[in-house]
Amino acid sequence: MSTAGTTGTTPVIQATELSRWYGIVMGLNNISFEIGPGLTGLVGPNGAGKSTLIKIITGQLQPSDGELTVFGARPWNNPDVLRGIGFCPEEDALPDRLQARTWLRGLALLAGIVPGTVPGHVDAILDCVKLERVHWDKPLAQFSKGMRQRVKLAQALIHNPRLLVLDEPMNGLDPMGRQDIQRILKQLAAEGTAVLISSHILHELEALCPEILILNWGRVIASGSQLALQRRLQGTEANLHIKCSDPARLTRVLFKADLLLGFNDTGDDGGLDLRVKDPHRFSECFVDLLTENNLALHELRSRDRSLQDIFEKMTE
Amino acid sequence: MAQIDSTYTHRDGETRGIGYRRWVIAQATLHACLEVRGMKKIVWTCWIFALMQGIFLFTFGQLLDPTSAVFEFITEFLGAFKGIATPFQLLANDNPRIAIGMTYNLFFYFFSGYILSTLTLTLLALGMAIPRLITSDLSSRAITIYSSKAVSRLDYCLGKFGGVLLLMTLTWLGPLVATWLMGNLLAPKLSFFWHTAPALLHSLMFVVPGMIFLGLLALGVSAVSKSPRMATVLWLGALLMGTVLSRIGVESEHTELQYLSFWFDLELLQNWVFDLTGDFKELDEKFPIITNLKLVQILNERLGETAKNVPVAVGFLSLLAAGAVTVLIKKVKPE
Repeated sequence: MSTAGTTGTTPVIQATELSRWYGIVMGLNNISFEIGPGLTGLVGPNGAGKSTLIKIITGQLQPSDGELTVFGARPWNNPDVLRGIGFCPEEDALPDRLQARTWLRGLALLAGIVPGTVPGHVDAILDCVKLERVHWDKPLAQFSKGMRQRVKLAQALIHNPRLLVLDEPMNGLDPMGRQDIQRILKQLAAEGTAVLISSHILHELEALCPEILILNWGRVIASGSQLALQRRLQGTEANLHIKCSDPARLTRVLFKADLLLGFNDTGDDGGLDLRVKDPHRFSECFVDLLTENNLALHELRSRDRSLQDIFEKMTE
Repeated sequence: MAQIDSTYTHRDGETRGIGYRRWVIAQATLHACLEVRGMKKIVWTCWIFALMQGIFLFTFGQLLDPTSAVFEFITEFLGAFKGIATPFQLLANDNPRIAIGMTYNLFFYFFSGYILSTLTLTLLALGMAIPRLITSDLSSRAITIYSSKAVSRLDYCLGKFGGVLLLMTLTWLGPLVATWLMGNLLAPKLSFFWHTAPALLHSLMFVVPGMIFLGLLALGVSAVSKSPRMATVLWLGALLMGTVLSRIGVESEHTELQYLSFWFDLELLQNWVFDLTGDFKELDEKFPIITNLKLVQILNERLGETAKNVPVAVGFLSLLAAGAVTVLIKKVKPE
């Protein structure tokens, strides 16, 4: 599934007929897609192939067939590419006996950062992920789950990557922590870093990622902007919530115009949940219908604008 | 989807090369090993060994010089000693290759790898360090993070290997070279450097391949298990089991069992490198009175027997090293 652009631009990640199998089990099945800068959400049920894809992107697995390039080159065994990638794994991958700052300094040196600049750089990153200074020189074994998540994010950012790959980065974070991480990721994306986030917390991805890649059974079943995906789904029907001056009359009008599949009266407040047929025609006619029938509209909102709905419909 | 546009402004900054990053891994590995409880004591003990050996060589050098203060001091209290030392001093004048060169070769044979030597302490140090080599990265899963950085698995392993070599340099090679330097810098004549160079060369020819082999083996054992305790047990088990099997091999008809001990194999390699039998042969031609000594005869006989089996020992050591490399290839990866 390619939505490649045209005019002299290069995708950060490009997969072409990419497959990866483990024995007879297909992890990824002949998928093609492109990911550019900005925030992209990677969504899929367990076993969809998300982890396999992430491992291939971060150079930890080799494709069985096809090709995946990051910055135009294959990441497998390619330090030049890996230098531009930051990876925050899902698992708790921290050496407990080391202190946060010591470990990050080591990783900064490992990334090839000039030794003289390492201490200041590490302190700045720890500030950036909002790990309180009092914890910087404590062994990682003493850290809470949320603090460990911040250190994991810090290690991914330590070498100023151009592509940040995060596997369930919000796990274990409190609401404040989630907000902090979201803010950091938005900032990075605004500065030109491509951020790929795999998460099960779909409502957070919805708020964070304008672009979505949905995997299921090792295949890409949808990719593109949330808006585009919603429009695709809305080609058949849409669920709306409406409050107006005369709900009963509105339903009659909509049935008569052959725009309504069903409705549900939600209470005495004049609210209606509507299942609308042909959303595109509905949006064209709706205002005229209200005007012609002297109906006052108090509230109109979509009930299936959530990523959860897109995900559920796509994976049905 | 969105594409990279002209406003893309990521700054890469200056970075160091892969050689430096391997060095960082090696340093971190050494640092982690030295943090193990008791490790610094072992390192200190190795250097105390070196100091004692240095004092011994200094004394030996001084005794070869009839004008030295040490010689005069000893003979003042122990007049009979003069009777033993004087012929040796004459020998050192006439045949320095035998009096100095061969003696140093014999000393360094013992210094570099006998039961009470820095090799024994090195094997102990490696046993203690093994959980900190690769096991800890596997158990904490930090290997996942390291493998996503700009270092390949080969770079990671080379860095770790460098760390083990640094540790063995502190416990084995370093003390040995320091001993040689002390013995020569404090010797009565500068010509000692020349005469004792073969002893140093033999030591390096044994110790450096030994370090490479032990380093690979330690890394392999460290990569076998995610459990630090299991890795240590495996190392000590291999060491003890090998020693027991080797003893059984010596005492029974099944001599092939001897080679199952890498310690025994290293000893054979050492015998071959130092070539003491060659020294004894040369000595026998000139001074049969020395080679007729019972102790020298026993040593000569034993060394002569083992020297012919060196290819088997080297073959077994190579097999073990290949096994260790295979383990590294299979195990050093994120999952």
